[in-house]
Amino acid sequence: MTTGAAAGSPPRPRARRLLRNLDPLLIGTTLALVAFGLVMVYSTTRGGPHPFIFLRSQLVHLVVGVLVGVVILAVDYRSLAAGARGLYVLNLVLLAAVLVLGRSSLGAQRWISLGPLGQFQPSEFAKLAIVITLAKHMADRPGPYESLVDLLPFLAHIALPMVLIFRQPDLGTALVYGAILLGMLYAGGARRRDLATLAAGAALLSPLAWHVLKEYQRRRLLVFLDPSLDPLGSGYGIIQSKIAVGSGMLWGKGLFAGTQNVLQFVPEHHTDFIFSVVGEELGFIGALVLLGLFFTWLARGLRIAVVARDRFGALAAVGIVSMVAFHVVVNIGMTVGIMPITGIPLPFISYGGSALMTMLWATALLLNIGMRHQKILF
Amino acid sequence: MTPRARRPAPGARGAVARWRITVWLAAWIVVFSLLLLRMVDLQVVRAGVLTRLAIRQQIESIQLPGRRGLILDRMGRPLAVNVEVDSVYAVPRAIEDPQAFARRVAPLLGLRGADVVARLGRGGPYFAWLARRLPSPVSRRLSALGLGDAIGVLPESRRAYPAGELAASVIGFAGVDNTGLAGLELQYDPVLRGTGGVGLADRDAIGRELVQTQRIVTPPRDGDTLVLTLDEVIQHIAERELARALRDTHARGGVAIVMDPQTGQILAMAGLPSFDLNHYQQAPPALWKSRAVADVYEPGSTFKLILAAAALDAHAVTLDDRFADPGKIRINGATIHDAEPTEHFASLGLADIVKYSSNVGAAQVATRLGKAAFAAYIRRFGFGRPTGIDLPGEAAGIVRPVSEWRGPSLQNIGFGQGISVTPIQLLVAASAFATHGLAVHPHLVEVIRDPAGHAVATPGDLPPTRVIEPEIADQVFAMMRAVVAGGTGVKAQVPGYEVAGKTGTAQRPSPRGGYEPGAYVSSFVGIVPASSPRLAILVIVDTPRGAYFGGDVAAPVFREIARQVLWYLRVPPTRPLPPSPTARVAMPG
Repeated sequence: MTTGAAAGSPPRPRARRLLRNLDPLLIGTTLALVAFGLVMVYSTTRGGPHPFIFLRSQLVHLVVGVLVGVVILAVDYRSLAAGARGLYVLNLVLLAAVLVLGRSSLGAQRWISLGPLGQFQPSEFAKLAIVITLAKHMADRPGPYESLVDLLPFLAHIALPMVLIFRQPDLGTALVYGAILLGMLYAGGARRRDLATLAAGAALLSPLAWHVLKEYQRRRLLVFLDPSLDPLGSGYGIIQSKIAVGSGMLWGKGLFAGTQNVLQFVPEHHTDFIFSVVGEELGFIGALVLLGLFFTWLARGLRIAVVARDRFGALAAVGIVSMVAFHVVVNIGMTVGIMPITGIPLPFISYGGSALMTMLWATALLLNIGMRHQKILF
Repeated sequence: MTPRARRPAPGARGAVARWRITVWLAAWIVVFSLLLLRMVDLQVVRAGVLTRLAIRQQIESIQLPGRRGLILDRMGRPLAVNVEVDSVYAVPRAIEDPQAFARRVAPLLGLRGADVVARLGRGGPYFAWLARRLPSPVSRRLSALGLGDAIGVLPESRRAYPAGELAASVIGFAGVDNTGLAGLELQYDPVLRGTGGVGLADRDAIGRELVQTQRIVTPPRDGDTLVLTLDEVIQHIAERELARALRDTHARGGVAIVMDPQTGQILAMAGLPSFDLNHYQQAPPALWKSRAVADVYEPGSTFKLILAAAALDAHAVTLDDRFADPGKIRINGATIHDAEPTEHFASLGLADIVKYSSNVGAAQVATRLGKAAFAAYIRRFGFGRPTGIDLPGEAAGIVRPVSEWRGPSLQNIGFGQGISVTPIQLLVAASAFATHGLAVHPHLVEVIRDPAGHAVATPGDLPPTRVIEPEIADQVFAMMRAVVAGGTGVKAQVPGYEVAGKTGTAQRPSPRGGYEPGAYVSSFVGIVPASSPRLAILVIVDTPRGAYFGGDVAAPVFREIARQVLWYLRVPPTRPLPPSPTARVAMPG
């Protein structure tokens, strides 16, 4: 709590009151999701000579994520708003750095190597940075947004990082920005007809995007429309993932007993396709529990948006919830074959340190906003 | 619900409209519900189908072949065995660059790179044969290439025939998938083949079988062993002596069969020219069949035995009847000559007709017997239908119906022309005279043994059938003794043993109709020892050059085979041996 003291040295009783304002349900669901994720990461990576190597990496990121999260929690979120401009610039620099220094994997350049500390994925943190800076931007221009023109500054706000992300290319993350923008603009008071115009504009621009997409991304989209186009190539992941989920049936094959998992029929089954293993090993019931946890988390997040003491806090909460909800829906949707494959991880569950830490920090920010709301409601 | 018009001031509590957040939450509820519906669809509605798909791709069913049964001669000597050889397969899914793969692998397999690429495309994604049953082991050199799971070696068994050319057409051969294709290998394929078992193993995404998950569901059962009636030594004797005769006479081919006249067990069945079973592909397919059962020939004078038996049994002729033989006779518009060097007697009895092989006499006997009666006896002796010997492709012979016997047909058939028989038919019919009129069922498999060695079947052990009355058989058998004692078959005499037999010299039918000029089939069928028959032997020499009488060409072959086989079987001599000036100690007794 030393950092808390530095941020404004609140008196002790006030700190206790703040702690009492922490949302226990949000913390509980977050812990449950993280635990769920660790078990699934272990289940999907325990084959091979070093069964704990992935789990250990995930645990290290968990610890770092929680420690940094505690710091985020301690600092009044309004001071984050003050640093939004700097954060925006830093974010752009990091995203540009990926394009220059980044490591390629699977046709996309997403990682920056940190030497012995491993590697990290700026686009994951960028999502949170976008939420914070956009919330500040919208709080500074509170509207009312009475025409499309009023929305253009915010469009410009995400356009720059979005272009950088697109260059990596990372179609999924770019779409996440869209979801964040949509959610925050809507909550911030944009007219439905203006949002519809924006969506229509994006749809009209998509043929242009088709040319920007890499060959493998186009193939993925086509294969999403018809997996049997290439059942052993691009369509393979979708088909195998559906088989895995379906063969889990109602109760699942049992933890660690998923045959599609163990025999490695599902590609990327510890990262993007981890939900296929949930479905296979824990069945419909397990999937239901996981969806319930996510929904609780989202609902608590939106409750915080409702009770937030200011516009910045409320919009940041909506942005975080939109980000996580979009991740969950797109990831699970792709695993069960109703969304195209876009390479978006499942929050808290998928293996991947940057994503896990981003989600933990997002949770910390939510808790931060929630515990500093006005007490009038209580 | 907060009224829409209210827009809170910046920085104030409730900085965003509450109803908008509620709508946003409702939107996500809708989307989550869609996900849930999809989960129900996959995990409840379509769960069965998808589970079956999963099992089908994850579990590999492995055929566990049962080893093919052995073929042994009557003494247990191996005639067909299995040897383990390497077969090489590839896992096409695990190969990134087929061209490079082919370049590295092809030299080891003795293939061209293009062949390897072609074979990679022929199998499924997980398995494609590259080379099967390689002549030399390759597994060590293949693993030295460091290609990992992309290539593998499976031990397979290949059929090997230790005796090579010996009895080739009888034993036959099995093809690359260990399926019998000819001979006994084909005839007894269901017995030899055994039943495959089924094993299961988990298979991972690139098709690797996980060894620790292998389990046997039904164990394989090895094929049964055939123990033949053939004796490798007797077979060798028969083939060697027949081959010598073919060489000496420059004949086209020949057949020699050695049978036990009491049981029908075939001790040797030689058909020449032969081929090496281990390289059957290199031999013309015409050689693959067993001439002794699949080829027909006109028997010539050996058929007079049938005529004599029929004439006596039908009381058409008695032993005392006499027939004139002026050397030729005109009957039904055709002139019939004696083919063999018959001494010209004023008159011949039936025994003399057989002894001296008189065609003129036989023609007259046939005339007396008549078409219908003769045809009935021909049938009774088994001509015109297969004997049922356990070899594939047995011919029935050609016995035209009586209605088609025109002109001198009856007379011609009386001395064995204008009728076609198989060697095995003739041998069975002739040996009936040695057994008081009983025709045996000829067979090549003595017993079928299961892999544990227990006898499970004796398919050839069928009772003989009576074809002629015992007295008649004995009378004809006496004539056969006379043939060898002082008739056309004197060159068949074996020192120490009395032989009964009959010579045959037939004109060879031409494929274009009529007979090939100067082409004859010389044959001799004999029984030895006559007093207690142990061997029935038929020798046929197809188109010898030079001498062509059966008594000159085939009878000496019979003699050599009989002499050596009797010695090999330790059959005691039945009459005193003529004194030998050089070796007194050679024979016992």
